[in-house]
Amino acid sequence: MPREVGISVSGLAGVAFATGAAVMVVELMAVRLMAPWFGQSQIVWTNVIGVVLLALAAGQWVGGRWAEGWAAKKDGASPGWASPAVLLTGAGAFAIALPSIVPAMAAAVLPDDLRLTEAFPFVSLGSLLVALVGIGVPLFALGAVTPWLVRLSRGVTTEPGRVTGRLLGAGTLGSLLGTFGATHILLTLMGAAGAIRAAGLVLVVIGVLLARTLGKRLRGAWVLVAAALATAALADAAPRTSGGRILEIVETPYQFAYVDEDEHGTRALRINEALDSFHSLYREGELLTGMYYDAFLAPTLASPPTPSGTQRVMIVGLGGGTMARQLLELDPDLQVAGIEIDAELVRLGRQYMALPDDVDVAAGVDGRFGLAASEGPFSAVLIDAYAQQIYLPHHLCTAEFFALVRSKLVDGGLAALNLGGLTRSDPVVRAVAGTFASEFDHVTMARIPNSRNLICLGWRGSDASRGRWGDVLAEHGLDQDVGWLTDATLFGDVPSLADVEILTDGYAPVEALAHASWKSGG
Amino acid sequence: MTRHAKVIACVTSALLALACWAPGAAANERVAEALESARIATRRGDVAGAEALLDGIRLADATPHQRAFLELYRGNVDFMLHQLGEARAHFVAARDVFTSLEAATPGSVTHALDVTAKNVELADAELVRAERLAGRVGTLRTWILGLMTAAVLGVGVLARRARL
Repeated sequence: MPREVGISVSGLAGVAFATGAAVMVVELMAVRLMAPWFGQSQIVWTNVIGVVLLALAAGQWVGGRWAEGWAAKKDGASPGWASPAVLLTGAGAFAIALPSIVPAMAAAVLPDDLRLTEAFPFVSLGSLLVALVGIGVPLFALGAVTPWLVRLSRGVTTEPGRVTGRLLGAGTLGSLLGTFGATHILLTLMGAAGAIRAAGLVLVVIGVLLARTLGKRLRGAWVLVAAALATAALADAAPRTSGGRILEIVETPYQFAYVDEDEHGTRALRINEALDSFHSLYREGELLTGMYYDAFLAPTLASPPTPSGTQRVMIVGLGGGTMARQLLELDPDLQVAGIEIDAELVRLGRQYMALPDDVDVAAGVDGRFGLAASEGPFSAVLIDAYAQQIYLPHHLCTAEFFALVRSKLVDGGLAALNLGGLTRSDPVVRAVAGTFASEFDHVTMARIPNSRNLICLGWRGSDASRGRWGDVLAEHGLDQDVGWLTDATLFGDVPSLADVEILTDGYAPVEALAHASWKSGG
Repeated sequence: MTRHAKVIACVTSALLALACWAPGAAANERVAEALESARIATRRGDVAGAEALLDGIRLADATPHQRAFLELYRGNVDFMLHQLGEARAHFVAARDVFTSLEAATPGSVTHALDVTAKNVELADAELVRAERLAGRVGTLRTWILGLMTAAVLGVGVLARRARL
C-alpha cells in the first residue's frame, strides 16, 4: 500500500498522545477556573465530568462519520491532516480563551447578591451551563480527532487493529500525563488558567504544523482565528470577590482563596465562591468577632486540664486561625494545636489574621488523619471543618470520626462542633448532630444567636465543666457578648437517635443532605 | 331587699365572678406559658417544638395581646422555614392586632408593633427576592434545555452531513 507523505503511525500516535493530555488538563483545570464562582463540590465535578464524557462521545461519533464521509466523497482517497488540524487548532484556540470565557459566563449566571443558603440551584445549574459551553465545545472537537487518526492510519498500515490499539494506548497515556502533569507541575508553575492556555497552545501549534496540507489562504485564516481568540484571552476576567479591599488572592492546591478587608478594618478569609460566608475573621485590636467563633471560647476554657496539668486544645479545620488566636489571647498558657489541610490558608492566617506562632499547626494534613496521628489527650477538640462552604467533609461527620475525637479527650473533655443550619430540623443538622450524640456521654446543642450556625457540644464522661462557664465568662469579661451561653433555655437535646440515620464511613450522603437542607429552607 | 339579702347577693356575685374569671385566667396563663416556651424554642432553633407549642394554643383562650404574639411567633417559625408567604400573612395579622391595641392604649405595645412592622417589610423584601431568584433559576433551566436541544440537533445535523 502506498505510504502517504507526512503521515506515519508514530505521528498519529503523537497527536493522539497530545489530544489525550489536553483533554485531562482542560477537564481538571476547568473545575479550578469555575471554583471562584461555583466552588468545586461533588456537584460541580459531576457536571464537569458528565459534560466531558458527553462531548467526547458526541465528538467521537460525529468524527467517525465525518472521516468516513470524507473518504467516500473523495472516492476512497486517504484524507490528509487537514481536518484533524482544523479540529486541533479550533479546540486549542478555544482552550486558550477558556480562562476568559468561564469567568464571563459565570458572572452572568450568578446574581451579585446571592447568599450561601440560596446558592444550591445556581451552583448546580450554573456550573452545568458553563461546563456545557466552556468544556463541551473544545472537548467535542478533541473527541472527533481520534476517529480521524484511526481513519488516517488506514493509509499507512495493513494491521488496523494493532495501530488502533496503539493510538488508543497513546491517547490514554497522554491522559495520564495530562492528569499528573496538570496537578503536580502546571498548576504549581502557572496556575489553572496558565495550564489550560499551555495545553491550548500546544494544540494550536500541532494544528498549525499539521495544516501544511491546507492551502495558504485557509491556513492563514485558521492562524488568524487562533490569534484572535488568544488575544482575547490575554486579559483575565477578575475573579468573583466580596467587594472589600483585596489583600491577597491565591490559588492553592485545594481551592481559590483570598483575604479581604472592609471599610472598618475587618479582615475575612474567603474560599472559592464564598458568597456571604467566610472561613476566618480578624480585626486588629478586637478579641471577639460577633460571629460563631465566640461561642466556642468559654466552653473550651472551662474544659479540664490534661494529666500534664495544662489545658491542650486541638482545632480540626484551623483555617486562618480565628479561634486559636482568640483562645491564646484569653489564656496564653493554653497549648493550642490545629490541623488544616490547606497549608496556604495557614500562611494567610499568619500573614493577615494574626495567627500566633505558638499555635502548633499540622498544615497540609487531612483533619481525620492528622487527629489520628496526633498525640492526645486533649482537654477539648474543636471541629470547624467545612469543605466547599456548605459541605462537612463526609469523613469528618461520621460515627467513626466522632469516636476518634472521643478517644483523644481526657475524662470530662469537650468536643465542640460547628454546624451550619438555622433549625434543629434541618436535615444536615439532624443527621450530623444525631451521629455526634451517638459517641458522647453528654451532649447538648444551641443555635448561636444572630447566626446561621449551631454549636454542638459533647463530653467524654462528666459534663461538670459546663458548670464553670459562668465563671469563665465573668473572669474574661465575656458575659456581655456571649452571656447567652449561661441561658440554659437556649440549649436542648440533640435529635433523638431513634429519629436519625447515623452517618458512617460507608454511608454519609452529605451532598444529598445539603440538597435537602436547601430545599427545606436552609 | 334586706341587709342580709344584700350581703348574700354581693357575696354570690363575687363568687360567681371569681368562678367565671378563674378558668379564664388559668387558660390565659397556659397560653402565656406556651407562648414563652415557643419563643425560647424558636431562639434555640427548635422549630418543630415551637410549632407544636403554637399549634397547641386555643385561640379562644388567648387575649388579643396573646393572639398578636401567637401570630408573630407563627410568622417567625414560617420565616425560619423559608415559607415566606405564610410568614408574611402571620406578620400582617400580628401587625393589625398590635395596631389596634396600640390605638386603644398608646405605648402599650409600641416595641412589638415596631418589630412586627419590620418583619412585614423583611418578609416583603424576601418575597421579592425569592421571586427574582426563582426567575433566574428558571432562565438557567431554559438555557440549559435550549443548549442541550441545540447540541443534540447540531450533532445530528453534523453527523448527517458528514456521511454525505
